[in-house]
Amino acid sequence: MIQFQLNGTLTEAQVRSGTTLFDFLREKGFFSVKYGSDKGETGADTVLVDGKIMNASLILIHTLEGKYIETVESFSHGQDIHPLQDAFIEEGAIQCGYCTPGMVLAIESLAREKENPTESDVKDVLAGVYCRCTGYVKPVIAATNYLTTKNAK
Amino acid sequence: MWYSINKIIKPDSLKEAYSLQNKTRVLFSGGSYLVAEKNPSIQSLIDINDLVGHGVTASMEGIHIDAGATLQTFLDTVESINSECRLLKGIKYSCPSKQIRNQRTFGGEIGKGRPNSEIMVFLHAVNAELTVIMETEKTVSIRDWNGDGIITKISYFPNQIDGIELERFSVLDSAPALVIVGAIKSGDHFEFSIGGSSGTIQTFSCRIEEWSENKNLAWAKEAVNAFVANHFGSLEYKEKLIATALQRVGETL
Repeated sequence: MIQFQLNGTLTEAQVRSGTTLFDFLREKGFFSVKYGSDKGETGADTVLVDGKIMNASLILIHTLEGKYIETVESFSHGQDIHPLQDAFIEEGAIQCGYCTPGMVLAIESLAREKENPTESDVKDVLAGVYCRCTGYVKPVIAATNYLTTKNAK
Repeated sequence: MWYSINKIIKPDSLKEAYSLQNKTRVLFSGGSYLVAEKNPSIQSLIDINDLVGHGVTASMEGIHIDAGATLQTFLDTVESINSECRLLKGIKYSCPSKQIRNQRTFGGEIGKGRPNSEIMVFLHAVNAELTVIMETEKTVSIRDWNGDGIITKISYFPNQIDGIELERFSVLDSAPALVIVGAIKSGDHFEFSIGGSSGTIQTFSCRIEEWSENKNLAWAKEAVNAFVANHFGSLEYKEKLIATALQRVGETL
């Protein structure tokens, strides 16, 4: 039995040994975490583990004892969405939306890690998330707008 | 789901972990390579995460990296001390995804031993020293390590090196490198390590006064034997890339 915090809720996982965090989250209905590949190449499966971005497909669940897991489901409550999600909508930085949760988590982790992240830092965290429709220009602008506003407060 | 895994073993010591290994039981630390591959012949994982260190100590005398330190931990620790460190660039080329850098450990990277890893070529160039646990603990040069034992620490000593350079050629900046050359200048000699889409990492050295374009061409001719011709280029093309990279790093040093 493994215990960890999942979006602020103490969660117990009693699963077989080779289960990945990705398998567990999808089974529990956290559909923001998407399948991209089994090798972590796409970043569609991005989650935050103790505030750090990681690929859920590469994490075996037994390694998560006592950890704090976040998915993008914790960023919104009904119509009340996270300012970063607002910035993506404002900028039109979404088309199919498949990679968007991964991008949002990646940028939020950067915002928490660095006080004044640069555009190069934004590009670095987005390098692990593949987008094949919107591309990266608008997400980078959305991220920069969000980070600038956040730092001005 | 890694269906073939039926047991996670948590040993009390690294010596015990070392003795437990066989073809179906393998060491597990970060897991980014192992879980990605999901080798169906592996049935048990020997989890050594709680038994290895996870830190990086950097000073002018030496860089000491615990085997359990992630690639991102190295970046976060060293970037603020020495932003010119060539290994920083090597890590970002070798592993552009921060998600994976947060998980992949140095021990795992060396254990995997990819010749097309900029990190591996760099560590070969600086002749990093590995602390390895087998029946006893010993230190061994990364160039001489045969893959046996559990790595606990990786160390290299910038104060013994007068200059380090890393050069790579790839189809795109973000693509895996066809050719990687790492080089150091130390005292009166140069040492060059050559990797990339090859079967192994090769090292050549000479006294600085003996280094010449002809020597580079001869080394490139020899080194290219470990490469294969493929859709990215012929052996002649790769030989020229190696020679060019050798020339560039030598001239820079």
